[in-house]
Amino acid sequence: MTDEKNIAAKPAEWELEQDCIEEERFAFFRRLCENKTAVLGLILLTIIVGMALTASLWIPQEAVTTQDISVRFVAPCREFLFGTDGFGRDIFARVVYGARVSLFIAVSTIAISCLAGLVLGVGCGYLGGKFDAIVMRIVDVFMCLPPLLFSLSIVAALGNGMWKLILAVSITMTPYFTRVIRATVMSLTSMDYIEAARANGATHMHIILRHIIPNCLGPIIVEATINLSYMIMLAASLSFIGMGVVSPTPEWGAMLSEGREVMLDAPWVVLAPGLAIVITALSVNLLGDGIRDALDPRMKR
Amino acid sequence: MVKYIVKRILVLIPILLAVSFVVFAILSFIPSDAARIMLGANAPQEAVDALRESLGLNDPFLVRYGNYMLNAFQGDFGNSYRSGQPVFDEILVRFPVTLKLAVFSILTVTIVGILLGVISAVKQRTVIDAIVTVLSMLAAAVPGFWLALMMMLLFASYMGFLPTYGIESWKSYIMPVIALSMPGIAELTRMTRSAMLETIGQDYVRTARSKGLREGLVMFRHALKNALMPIITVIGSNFGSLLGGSVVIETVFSLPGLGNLIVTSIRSKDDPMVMAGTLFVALIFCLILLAVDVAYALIDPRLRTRYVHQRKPRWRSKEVAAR
Repeated sequence: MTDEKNIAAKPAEWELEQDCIEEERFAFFRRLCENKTAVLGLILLTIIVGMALTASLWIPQEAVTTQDISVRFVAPCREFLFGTDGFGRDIFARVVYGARVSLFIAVSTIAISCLAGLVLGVGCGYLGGKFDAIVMRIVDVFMCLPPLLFSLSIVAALGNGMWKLILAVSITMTPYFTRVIRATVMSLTSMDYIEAARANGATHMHIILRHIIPNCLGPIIVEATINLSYMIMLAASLSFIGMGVVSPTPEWGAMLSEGREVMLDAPWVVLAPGLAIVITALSVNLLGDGIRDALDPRMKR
Repeated sequence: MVKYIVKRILVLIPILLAVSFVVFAILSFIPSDAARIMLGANAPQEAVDALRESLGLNDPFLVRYGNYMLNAFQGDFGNSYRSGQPVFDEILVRFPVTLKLAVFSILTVTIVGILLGVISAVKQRTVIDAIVTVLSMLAAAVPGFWLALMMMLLFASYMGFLPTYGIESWKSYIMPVIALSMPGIAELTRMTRSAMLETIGQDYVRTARSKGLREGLVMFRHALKNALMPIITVIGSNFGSLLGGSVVIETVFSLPGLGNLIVTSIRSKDDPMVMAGTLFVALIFCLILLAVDVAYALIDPRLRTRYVHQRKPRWRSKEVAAR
């Protein structure tokens, strides 16, 4: 705790301290930028997200669903960069628009399950006691099923559709985030500064919002980015077996599922969506590893 | 140790009961009419109603769950809506396929993953290390089912030396096993590499080297053995995701396994089959997690003594302090 009087007496020193804090903040970005693979991941991801966001500016929305029997199974050429599928739809347009769907699903499942995991994890770690015991038992139960199988049965119950898929995967992933965040919070609650804040008469709400949650953010960000590619694959897998987003929505997994029937005659139908998943997952992984190393330099090897 | 294992198995019972409740609740969400499915679309309404009544489908949720569990305790998990046979008849026929797939895959993951990881760590900062690292990054980003499709195109269709669908011979397992184990190999390679790098820098490795031990012996006896803990965690968690992943891979290759059974049962609204299949997978999953914990204790002498002596009071006080 910094004494008020001291700050007034030694402004220079105080400024120096502020500089150090500032530097610590930028150190993360500096370390991230030094990591070449992380920068590569960031650039790739920026391009993918940029293409997805600006898609409607340079590809007409109709291209995604317009069916034209006269151009069925056209191999990749100048007009159709990735060829066309069995309905004569432009695969390039569908892959680019598919990035919107797939990324939206992945990001929103991560956001929802992180938020739910944060609430439950902070509750468990900070309150402890009965609440912790009950929630952790429920978490144990939910973690008893392989994630894919669990979200599969939820999707089966809710029915197909993007929002239902998001809900199903979020429910599946919440226990995993709860575990991680609870462990982090538990290690924080025994810290001296929490003790000090409590001695200062801070309310529980204040401690949680000002001390616990900001200090949890690092692990949460790491966990979120590392799991992002898993989310993309989980959603794609579910759509692939026909339990999730269904055609004509241009989701990558659903496109693969559709293309599977005809891939012997038109292999490009399954080539482009799969490569899109691979490149996206790869760039997210590279960035995630970089963020983890930058947040915790001791981990770096 | 035996006491510990028995205790863990006893803990499994309430957890599996809770899982059964969750799955039952999820399944009863599905708006389906089992009686209509069993009798076909042309059956008279009265017959459907009568069957609904006799199956107990009109009962409230908790009554149905209670009845189901009462029967389940007596070993009766119901009959499949589709075939009319007891569900476990079908599950036990299908399970060996999934088991073989999972065991072959986990063996592949373990052997290839540890080998590549050790090589990569020993040859740190060389071309080999760089190649292994890049390949494992790539393998981690490839979805198993897409890899399966690509292999089907390449090996089965264009070259025609591997079977594409179903099970004909041992060759039928080659592509599914590769597709299923690829993400695991990637993860294990990276984990082994970083765990090995940590132990390679330790003093006891230097000591072992300085007393003139052969390099191979130093690596496997000293470095790898001490790096085993995180490696086992990864293998254990991979076994779980293999069970989940086999659902997709079995569907791609049309293998008559448990995962395929569950997916087709979900599609045809065969609730008893989905219920029993899911519970069965949950049981296997929990047993694997248990096996991983036991393996920890077997490998790490520090943990082993804890289980043997049961220093419970000290344990508890530590937990309280952590809070």
